Amino acid sequence: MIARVYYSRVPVLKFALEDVIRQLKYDIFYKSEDFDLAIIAFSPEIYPINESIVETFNEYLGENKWVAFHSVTSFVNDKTVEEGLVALFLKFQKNGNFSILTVRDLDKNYEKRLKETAEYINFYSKIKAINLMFASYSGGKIGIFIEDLNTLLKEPVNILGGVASGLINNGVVANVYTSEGEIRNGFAILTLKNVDFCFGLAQGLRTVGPIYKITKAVNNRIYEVNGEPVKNIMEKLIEGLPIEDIRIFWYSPIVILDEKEGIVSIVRVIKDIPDDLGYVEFWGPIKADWSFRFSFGLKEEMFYAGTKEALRVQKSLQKVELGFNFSCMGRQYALEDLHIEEARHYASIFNAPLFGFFTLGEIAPDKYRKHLKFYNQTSVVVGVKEL
Amino acid sequence: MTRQEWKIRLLLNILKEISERYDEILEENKKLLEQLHREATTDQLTGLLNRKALLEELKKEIAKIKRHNKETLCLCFVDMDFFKKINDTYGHAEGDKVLKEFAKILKSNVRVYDIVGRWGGDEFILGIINCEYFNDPKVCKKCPIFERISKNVKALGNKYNIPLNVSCGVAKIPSEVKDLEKALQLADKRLYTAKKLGKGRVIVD
Repeated sequence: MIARVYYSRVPVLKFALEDVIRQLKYDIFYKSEDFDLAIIAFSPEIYPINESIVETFNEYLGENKWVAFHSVTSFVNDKTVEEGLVALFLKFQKNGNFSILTVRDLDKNYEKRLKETAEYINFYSKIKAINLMFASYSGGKIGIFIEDLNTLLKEPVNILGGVASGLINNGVVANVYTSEGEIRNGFAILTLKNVDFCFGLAQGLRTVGPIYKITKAVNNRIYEVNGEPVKNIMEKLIEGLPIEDIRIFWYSPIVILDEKEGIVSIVRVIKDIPDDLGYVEFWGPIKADWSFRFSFGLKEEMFYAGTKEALRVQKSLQKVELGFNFSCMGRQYALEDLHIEEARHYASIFNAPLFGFFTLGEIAPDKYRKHLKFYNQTSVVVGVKEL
Repeated sequence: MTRQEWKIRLLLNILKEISERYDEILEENKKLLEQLHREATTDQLTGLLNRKALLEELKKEIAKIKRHNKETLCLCFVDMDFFKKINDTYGHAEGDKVLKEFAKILKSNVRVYDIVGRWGGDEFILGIINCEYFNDPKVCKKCPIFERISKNVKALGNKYNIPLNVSCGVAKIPSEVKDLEKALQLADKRLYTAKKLGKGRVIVD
């Protein structure tokens, strides 16, 4: 496959699309007149939501040839781009092709949506394919859907992706688009067929302190830990800190421990702490009976973990034709200046185009591809090559 | 404050929380260890020292005697006369109750520094420290400890209409024997003699 990633900061959607298509046309190494598929990441702050978004994408990219989603910061090869539009163009050269599944309105017929999605993914787990999930924020419930979906999936699990990101006036605006329309409460799965892939999960967090047991939790919120109100812990944690800027707590996510092995399973980042400290809300689902430890992110160690995983992916796949990085916004914050370096390192290690974005939640199997999980504060780095 | 300073503040807050939590864990672990130690050294039925712990305590006391060469230890094998009748008449559950009562009598009638433990069945061991009465066979039965125990056991027997009493074989350390094993053998032999001679006796030579 030939992949190209371009960006535009032209603040009108159709002109930005014209801009990236023009860049493709004038790329002398692209060696093709057209593309098979486009994936677009665009900033909701610059390109406001309106009824013509889908129409515009269809007009410029062709019907059923694209998937688009909101992203605050996206990866363009060795750079990160904010407040703009980033386009990945793909042209298959061997046996590769693709299909797109659009799942909307998760609240309606939840069980049916779950079953249909599982059937789709399980079908493509039998062949050489990768399912890329671009999920809308879905009112914070997409993580719960992923947890439920896990119970229906067969091994080896081959779905990876991220939750779209966008913050406007302190509210989350993070939608996904396909030719079938706007997705506010659902996701799109883009299946690349006849491809080989390898992925890594990078966290690099240092766990500290004893194990805590969550004794009361609802959806994404913790109410009680070790049988005590969570307030007892939070009072100590927030002392002297500006609670109004929640991002400071992104340095210290909680790591959920694997029930059987006691090792780090997934990570959760704090989304909100109310004034009365009655609960703590996270960017992903939390369950009672889970155990966790606190962690602390030192940027050099997180950066090293990412580089190590990218090297492993490159080594395993031999030749990477396209790299993806679905990395948490919390990780971006904690990496500080090194978040730009991380993109540069990944692109350089793969020696291939890199596309991706900083997400509101990462979706990937565990490293043994047995279970699908919903992560925070993780970089899901993926290498793909056509067969 | 800068972002870097917030970051350090957050880390310090976390460390404060977890160090307090570790203090709690240490305290819990300490209690758990104490409980485990109690369970490992205590006889479940009577709450007295079990055989293993009893031997440990006696060994320690003998080592002390050898080191300072001042004190003496009378190792007493104590057995309840006619206890079998309790079991036969009233059943084992009632027998257990009597054993518990007997253990209480033993514990409450020795001095705080004396050693009391269950050897097995209805046999108990007392380690009486510095007791002159047991040096003379003529006055040994006048030992106030033994007298009190005997009186209370008889009263206990009255409740069941069975003539319960106490037999006792005593070995003296270091005047007769120097080590624990020999003391146990000697005291056991003397208890057997006491039983044979007619129960309710203290045999010291």
